[in-house]
Amino acid sequence: MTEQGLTLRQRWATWLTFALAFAALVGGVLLRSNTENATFPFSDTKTGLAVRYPANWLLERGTERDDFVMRAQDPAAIPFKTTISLSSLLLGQDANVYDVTELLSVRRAAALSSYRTLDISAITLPDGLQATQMTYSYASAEVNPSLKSIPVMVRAADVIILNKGQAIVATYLADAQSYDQNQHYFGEFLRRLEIR
Amino acid sequence: MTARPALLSPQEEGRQVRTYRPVWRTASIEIVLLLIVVGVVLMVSRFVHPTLTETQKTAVGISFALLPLLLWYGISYRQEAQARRPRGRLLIVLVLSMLAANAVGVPLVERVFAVDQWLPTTGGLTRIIGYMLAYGVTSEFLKFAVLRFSVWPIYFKTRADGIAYSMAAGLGYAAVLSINYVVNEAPEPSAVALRVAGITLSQVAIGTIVGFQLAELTIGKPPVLWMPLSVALAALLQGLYVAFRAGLIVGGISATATGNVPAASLGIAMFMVVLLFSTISFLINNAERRARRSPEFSS
Repeated sequence: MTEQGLTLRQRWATWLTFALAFAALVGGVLLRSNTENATFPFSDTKTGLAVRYPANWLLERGTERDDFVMRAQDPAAIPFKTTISLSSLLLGQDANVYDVTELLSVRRAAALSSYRTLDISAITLPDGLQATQMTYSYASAEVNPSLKSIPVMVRAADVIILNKGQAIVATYLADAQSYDQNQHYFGEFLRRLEIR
Repeated sequence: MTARPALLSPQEEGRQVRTYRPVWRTASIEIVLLLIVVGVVLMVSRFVHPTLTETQKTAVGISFALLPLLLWYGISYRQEAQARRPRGRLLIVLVLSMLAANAVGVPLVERVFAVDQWLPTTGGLTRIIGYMLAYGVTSEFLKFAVLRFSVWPIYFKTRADGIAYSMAAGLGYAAVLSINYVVNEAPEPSAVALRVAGITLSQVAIGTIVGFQLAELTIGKPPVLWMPLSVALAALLQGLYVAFRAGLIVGGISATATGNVPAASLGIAMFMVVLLFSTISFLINNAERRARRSPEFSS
């Protein structure tokens, strides 16, 4: 029997199998996209902030002692856990955005090894809000000294929004190697940020 | 001195030559031999604790990954050559499925779908569906395509032909997955033994569903949807196998143990072999019995 000798039933059966495989592969791509972009809501009535963070990341809600309102970390990221956080700073009467970047830089230079500010620029958020972005890098050493791991170079970005006497700081931290690859999480985070 | 009476000795019976190679028997022998070797490797690893360099580990791993192919060549392929009607193009099917796995299957699953980056952290049902769509459909469809464009329907004379060709395709596909695992992970020989056996058994056993359906499509008159549904069923079983394998490798944690039970993943693969071999064998016997009773056969 040659290729031309196939019965109608055989032809249909094979074509339907091809169609099923194609549909299943498209379904796989959609499932991946949905899973990776799935988010959970977070809101804080005290600061009036509401946002959505990646569904499979671990959420930590800030307490009085913490310097953040919320922090979400990717538990699967190795060697450095990709982190997105949100914090709120009260501003003085005449304070501007450069006072905030200065304050953050001074604090971080004291706390983080090899801290370096890379760039400060004005940006426009997806909803039209004006903001300032500060990018920086530092070396993150493992907290447990017995693990003896090599420090990881972390690349980070702060997006600072001034609103009604407070500065809202959205921070994105990632291993320098995977910074660009994971940046879409931060973009989506900023897109869903609501300041009430 | 008396003359010894001349005795007539019965004519020596020649070696029995079968019309077709018995696929279930040769496959079962290969599986038993593979499991014996896995058992030996596990015992040696447990009691002798050999220390191997990275190069030695890779060499041992690749040798083990190729072992199912050697067993198939030594048992199935040689017996095929001795049969009165040997099945042609078995080696071509095996090589084509290896090429398909290496050129399309592995890159698609590992790079395009990147299943290791997002599926392990998802819930149970999503994980099963994800592995089914990404890993299961890819492997089952590629094996189907290899059979479809190389030997089907010309070489499918009996229903057992579908099993023989699908097993060859499954072995080729499994060999590439095994080599890929050894090269990328560089694991210990005991881990290689368990993973290679698991991959081989699952690919060979689950692949028989598609092989049987292709044979049925040549010989019988099944509904049109049975072929795509068979690929979907095979893909679902692949998804279940991978999802449960990952779940069983890390077992329950108790006060006395961290619960590492890698051998359990091999248990699932063996269960699939027994279940699918007996089910497909039953279906083939049933279909052939019905065919013998049909008016077309008696006329």
